[in-house]
Amino acid sequence: MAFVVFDSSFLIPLPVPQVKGVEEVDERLLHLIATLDRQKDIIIVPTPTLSETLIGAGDAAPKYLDILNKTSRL
Amino acid sequence: MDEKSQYRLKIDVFSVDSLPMGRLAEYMAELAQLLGERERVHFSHLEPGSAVLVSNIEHPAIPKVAERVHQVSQGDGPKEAMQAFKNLDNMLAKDNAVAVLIAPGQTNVIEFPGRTRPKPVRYGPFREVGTLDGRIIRVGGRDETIPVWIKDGDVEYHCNVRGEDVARRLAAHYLNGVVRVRGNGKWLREENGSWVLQQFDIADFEVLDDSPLSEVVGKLRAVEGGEWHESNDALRDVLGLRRDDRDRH
Repeated sequence: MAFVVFDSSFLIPLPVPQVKGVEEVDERLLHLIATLDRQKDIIIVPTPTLSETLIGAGDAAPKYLDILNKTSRL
Repeated sequence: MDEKSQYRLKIDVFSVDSLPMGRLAEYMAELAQLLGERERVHFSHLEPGSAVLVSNIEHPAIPKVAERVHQVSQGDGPKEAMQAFKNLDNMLAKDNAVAVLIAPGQTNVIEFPGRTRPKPVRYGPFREVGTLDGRIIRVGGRDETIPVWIKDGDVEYHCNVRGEDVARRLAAHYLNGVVRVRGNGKWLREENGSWVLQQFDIADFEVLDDSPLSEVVGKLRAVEGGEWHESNDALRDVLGLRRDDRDRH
């Protein structure tokens, strides 16, 4: 098991794959997620990254937080 | 070989007679790494008095060695040279010694603090409210304080819980899923910078969702109301958030 740190360029398109300005990352992102799943790795989200992501999350922010807080994988 | 091409490493506690040959070889290996230009740097001799390792530099390599040593003295040398500096200083500290590297012209180029450098300090213990995540691998005990062991990867946390109610509820999750316990921890910061948990008193806990990451991503994507897709360039917006107008000058 390893710890992998995500920055905003990964965390923002994670819930919103159609986001613009981060290139076509979705396929690579999902491949990374599948790889991390296989290896039982844990994703670390630094507080500034979470803050930046939630700024553009609008009404979804509380639900994002709820999901992120309850999972043991992030 | 003239004095203009010689570097001297002067170690204060050793003399020619007291410096063991094996230790001398270790010092020489690290010094060679620090000076670089391995094909053109040669061990010359040991000077009497305090142990002084004299190295001869072939003329074509003198400017490069001088530059490298200068960079190390500024803390800005190549990685392997800085590592050699650190290794030499660690060896000196172990030998209860200090040393100085003297360049041609008798200037002290690099001082090795060795035994005089500040000793690493152990801090604490500190008490802090916090959380721990992991699988419960033990719950049980006869005393009022009930031991609860939690395993997170390779790390085991030995905690306690007061009160049968929380302990009973925790026991239902023994070897079953991942929990996050909340409570008060007693932490110690070791000399090497690592934090060690000495005690953790569990006040409460919650069960975490242990679903695979792909399912977590699916849940996140099912949430409506996000606004990032409305931005024309999400990353530029994020970089804009990080920029401070006061930093423009």
